[in-house]
Amino acid sequence: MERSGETRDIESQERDRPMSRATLSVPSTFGTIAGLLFLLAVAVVATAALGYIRLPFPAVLQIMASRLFDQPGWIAQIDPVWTVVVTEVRLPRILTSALVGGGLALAGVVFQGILLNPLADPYTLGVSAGAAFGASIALLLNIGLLGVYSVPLFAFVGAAGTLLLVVFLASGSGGLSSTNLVLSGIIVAAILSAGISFLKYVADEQVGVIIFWLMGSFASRTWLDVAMVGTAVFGSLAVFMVYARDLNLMALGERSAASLGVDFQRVTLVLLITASLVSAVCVAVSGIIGFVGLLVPHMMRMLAGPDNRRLLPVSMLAGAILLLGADTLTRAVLPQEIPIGVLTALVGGPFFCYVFRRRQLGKA
Amino acid sequence: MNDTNDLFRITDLRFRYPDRDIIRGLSLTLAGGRFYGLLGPNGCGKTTLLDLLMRLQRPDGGQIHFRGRDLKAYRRSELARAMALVPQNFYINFPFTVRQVVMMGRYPHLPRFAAPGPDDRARVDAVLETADIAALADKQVTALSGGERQRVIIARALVQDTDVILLDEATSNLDIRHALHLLNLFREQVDRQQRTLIAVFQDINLAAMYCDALLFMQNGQVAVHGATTQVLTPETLHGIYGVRARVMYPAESNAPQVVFRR
Repeated sequence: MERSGETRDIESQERDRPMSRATLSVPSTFGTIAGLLFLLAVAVVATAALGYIRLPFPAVLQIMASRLFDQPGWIAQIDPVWTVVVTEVRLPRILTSALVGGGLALAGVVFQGILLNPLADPYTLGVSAGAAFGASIALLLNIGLLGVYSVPLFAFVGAAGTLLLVVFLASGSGGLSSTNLVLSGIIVAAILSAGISFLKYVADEQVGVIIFWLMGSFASRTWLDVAMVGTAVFGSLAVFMVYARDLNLMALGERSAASLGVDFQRVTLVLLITASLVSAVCVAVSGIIGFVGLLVPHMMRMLAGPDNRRLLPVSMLAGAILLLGADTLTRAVLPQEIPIGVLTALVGGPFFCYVFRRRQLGKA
Repeated sequence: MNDTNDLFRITDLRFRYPDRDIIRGLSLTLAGGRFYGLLGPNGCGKTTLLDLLMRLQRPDGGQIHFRGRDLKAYRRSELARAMALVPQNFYINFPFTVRQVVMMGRYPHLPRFAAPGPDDRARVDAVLETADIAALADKQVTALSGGERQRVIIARALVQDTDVILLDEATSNLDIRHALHLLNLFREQVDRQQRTLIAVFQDINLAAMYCDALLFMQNGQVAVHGATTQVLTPETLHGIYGVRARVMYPAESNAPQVVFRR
């Protein structure tokens, strides 16, 4: 029997909760992207002037403009050495580092979205360990059948093979669950890192080469690297933007996403493969660079919100700026070049601890 | 009976997990424009049946026809415009705002790259109001209580504007005021818009208050089904749950209510 009158409502909706910062001011998508693009352009010009030979900014701009518009006359008064330094030495390295930063950040957004875990990154699924293992084999056996591209190629094959293995292990009657993917990623990565240790152990005098490669570097990148990473990064961006809305829905969980029209298994697989490919290309070109794919999406989610249609381009640009900055720091500012992977881990690691701790305290 | 007037026609449906059978040769026909309550003991297959009706799981045997057409022949996006699901609980790890999550219910009606129009926004605002979460619209879902989150996904299902709404214990996390408020709202959807609700309930009395028909499941089959007043009897309750109960028709209520005995 119903009894009316004395019922007391529990006004749960009026419980006081602090407004989080992210909701207070979300800058418009266009403004954020335009601002970041401008920042990136400035960074490219500025960093091209920095280095062993300090060049004046106007000269750098002139050199870039003359190359861009194919007008050799514009740089008639400029030292040809400067032109070579900018176009053949610095720009390929600058653009490669920016593209790798963008690619790792993009992959980070997607891995976090698929694995439903804001602390996942391109390396959670063992893709980097696979790339490192492949590269170590190529370095150890001194395989030269493809010239300087043997190592990146082996790294790529290692990464792709690892992804296939992880997906195979994780798939079962229940489909691809994020828990299964993370678990199999951890297992495979553990085996691979033991394998890498073994390779180092038997490597003898080659061990230095392996260790150096594993720590990551953008030194002596070429326009071919730029073209390779550029294709991968912009190709993956296109794929990700097509599925960005589905990725939003996937945050609600598999059942809800499917009930809202997402072909969950297919979209998961397409995104997983694309994100792994772009990470593999990045690792193959630059070695192991951690924390960019983890931190950039996390920070950008606070700035631009979790909607992937905005988060993806914003994270890509922010990742590009961040890694370009980090690489310039080690290339031109620090007295001695530190491997970029070490630098990002030294700076990113403590920051990650901070973010993680805040999360544990329920503030993020 | 005319096939195409039936909303769902299920024949000999089977579903099993590797270690046990969940649905064992279930056959059932459901007409549109009614509020169905799906009842039964834990593990009898209620949630699995909802999943099969929405094609979130593949049956191991048998067939489901939806509006006279094999369910397998529908595209996912078509189904998303025809049926909405309110799951029992939902957990979201990313700081989407309440409004963003509710707007996701409009996605099935919008082309992939289209932004929501004024109609979509008005619809979302209206539903935020109805579900009593307008005050929370710009808060992050990660900061809400369980009951508040539940109202967010109910709102998301409502803006999806589908003829069929499946509720999987959708109100069990809500306090009684919000539970009654939202069930009244769902009842209105059935009465005014000829929508069909298929709802899993744990609370038999809530089901009796709102449902036109009750389906009692047992061991992966529908053991008893029919109009609420006809099938809600002490015998049914004893047969399905093994409990002793009386069914009463209190003057204050327009529905039978069950009083259990220890």
